[in-house]
Amino acid sequence: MRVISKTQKQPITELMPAQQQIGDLEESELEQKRIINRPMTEAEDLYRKMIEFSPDGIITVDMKGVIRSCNTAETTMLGYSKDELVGNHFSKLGVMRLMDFPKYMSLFTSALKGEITKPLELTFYRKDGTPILIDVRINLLNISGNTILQATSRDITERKRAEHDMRERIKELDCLGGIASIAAGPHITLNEMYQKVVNLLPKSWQYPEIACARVTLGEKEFKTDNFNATAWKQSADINMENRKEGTVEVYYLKARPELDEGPFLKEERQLINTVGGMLGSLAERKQMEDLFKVLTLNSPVGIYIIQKGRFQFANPQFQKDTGYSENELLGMDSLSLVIPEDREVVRENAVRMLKGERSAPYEYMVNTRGGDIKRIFEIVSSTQYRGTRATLGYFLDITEQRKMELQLVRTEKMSALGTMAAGVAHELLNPMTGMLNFAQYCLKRTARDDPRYSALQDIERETKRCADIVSNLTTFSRVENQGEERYQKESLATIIERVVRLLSYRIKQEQVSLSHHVAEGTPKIWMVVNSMQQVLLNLTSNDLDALIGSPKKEIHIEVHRKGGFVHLVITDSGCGIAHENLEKIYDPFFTTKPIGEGTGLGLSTVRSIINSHGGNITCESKLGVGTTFKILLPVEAKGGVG
Amino acid sequence: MSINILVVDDEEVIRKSFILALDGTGYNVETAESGVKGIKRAQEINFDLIFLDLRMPGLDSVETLRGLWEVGQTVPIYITTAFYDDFLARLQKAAEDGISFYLLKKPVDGDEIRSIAQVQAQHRIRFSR
Repeated sequence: MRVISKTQKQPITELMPAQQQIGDLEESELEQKRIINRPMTEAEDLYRKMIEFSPDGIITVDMKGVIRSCNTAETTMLGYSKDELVGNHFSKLGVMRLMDFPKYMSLFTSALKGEITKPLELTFYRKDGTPILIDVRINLLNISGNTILQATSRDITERKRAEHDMRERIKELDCLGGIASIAAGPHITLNEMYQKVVNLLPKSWQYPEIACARVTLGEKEFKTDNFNATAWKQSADINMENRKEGTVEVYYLKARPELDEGPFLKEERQLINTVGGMLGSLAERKQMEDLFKVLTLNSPVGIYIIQKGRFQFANPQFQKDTGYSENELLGMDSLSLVIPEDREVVRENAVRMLKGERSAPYEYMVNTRGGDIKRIFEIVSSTQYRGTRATLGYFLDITEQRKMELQLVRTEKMSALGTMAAGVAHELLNPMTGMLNFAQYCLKRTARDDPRYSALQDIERETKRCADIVSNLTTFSRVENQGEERYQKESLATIIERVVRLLSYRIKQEQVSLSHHVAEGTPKIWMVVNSMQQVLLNLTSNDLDALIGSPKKEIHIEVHRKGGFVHLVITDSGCGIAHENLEKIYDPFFTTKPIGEGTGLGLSTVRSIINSHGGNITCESKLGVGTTFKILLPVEAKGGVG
Repeated sequence: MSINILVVDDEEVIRKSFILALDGTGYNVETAESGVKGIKRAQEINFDLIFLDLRMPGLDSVETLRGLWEVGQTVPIYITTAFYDDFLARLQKAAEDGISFYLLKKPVDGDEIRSIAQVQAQHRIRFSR
């Protein structure tokens, strides 16, 4: 304080520890220095200010241990006022823990020897008794022959805590990040995942070398190799859908000092809780994924997911229906499968369905990879896929179903037509009987050279033709209702011979070569003889018609047994049937013959008869090459009754 | 040798057909437009041959057939029909009951009618009861 009064040029010197530091120097010396080194005063001033305002606590102690000066930061740090510190013996303040003295003294000794000392971390007690962790550096200053110890200290309590927190946080992140990357493994099973997670856990605990872990899930148990259930345990539940399904546990194999929770830290409690939660949701997710896989893999319905108009997922059925492989589909524009004329409608319907404006499935046609056109029945809904909005589609190929529906409609139409035909036939046959007899009556009473005679013959012939057509109509309707009584066991060979005899005149006249072969051992089958005769008569007559104008005139009839069926195959070398007509050949009234030469009932009658015998007829034909009818007839069944 | 023939049919064109077909054969042809009238006439005259339409309003062919049988007819009865599926069960039943008849498919041709009549004129077939 003496200096203060003498140095008027330094108005704030009162507060300056630098001044205090040197306050105990000989006043005369100081005075002397000032006089001699006048220009130094400004630097000195700066130095003092630097010390006073330093964020680090700075304290000077003489060799006797008495505090000679200190700055504000030091007083703030220790909680003592300047007056309480300066002039007091350092050791008597109780700032330093007794146990730390040896460390401190060794540092001090080093410093005395002039060695460069390392900073020392010490625990100090503030005036209010709270411990603080400080980082101390000491320097020895020699001021005018007097050695003074200057200690610079910094409160590192916060920094240490932050460092600790940071370490814990890093361990936690390491652990959770590890689990996440294990779970993200592409083909990892749930069991593999649990084992890997268990192995990962000890590393994240404070004493990894003595830590072991276990995950229990229902019946299953996953342990580290060194696992041993000790008394030092930390555990958490694994919950799935809010139900406890298992536990995750970490054990220490040896005793360790008591911390927040036994030997464990509160951070470790948090971590194990998080791991428990994570394992639960991972298992849930994995189960959902597995379920999704099983559902889509075995679904008889095509399932796909699109994002931004492109396929992101397609199940096997979808691949089968479209003919494209998964690799080809992924990334493909979804509308490119749709035939061009349906694209707009599909887009419109899908958008309306996604908006909830439409609930009924819609239909459209797709072009498969193989070039087939298929009819599709579809539902779409909005979903999330890999975190982004997506469209989930259910895709059903109804091509065959629709074909069958159409066939059924056609069959129903034909059945209705049959009923109608029978009614018409009945109505027509009476007048025709009249017309025929009237014409014959007139014919008998007309001279052969009378010009009316041939006209009457025409009437008779044409009436008979009408009657034939009408009779055919009744046959067509009748075969569906045949009683079983009329069935008998007969050999197809007999029927063929009869029909060939009937047609022999025409066969000869048209120079057709007709061969037939009935394989040995072909059994007799149950049939309505007249109907079966009609089948062969119709088919053979058709063949003869087809051979007109054909350079090669051959018909071959082959019969053999195959399993429970007798195969009847009739082949001609005629003009063939155009592909577009193949489906229509069994329709009543469909004919390719000139008007007046065919009633069109031939093949529909044939099929009705074959079906009523429990058999099946198919036709293969190539234009210009010929036609083959294949008929299967059951050996045992007495027709298709029931 | 002349025989008596009865034609039972509700349609005139059929009745007339039979008359014309048998015209000049010397056989005596009578017609009735219903089953009831046919049965009544059969009780008055001994017919040698009867043609019967399957489908008729009033008494149909099977009822008429049974009626004729009951009044003692044993001559051949031909039932003319386009198709008989609807009547099959009842016709079978009649056959099982011992009633004899033939089915004749429409349209019936004049030659067919004459040949049936001719056979009957020659053989005078009668069924035993």
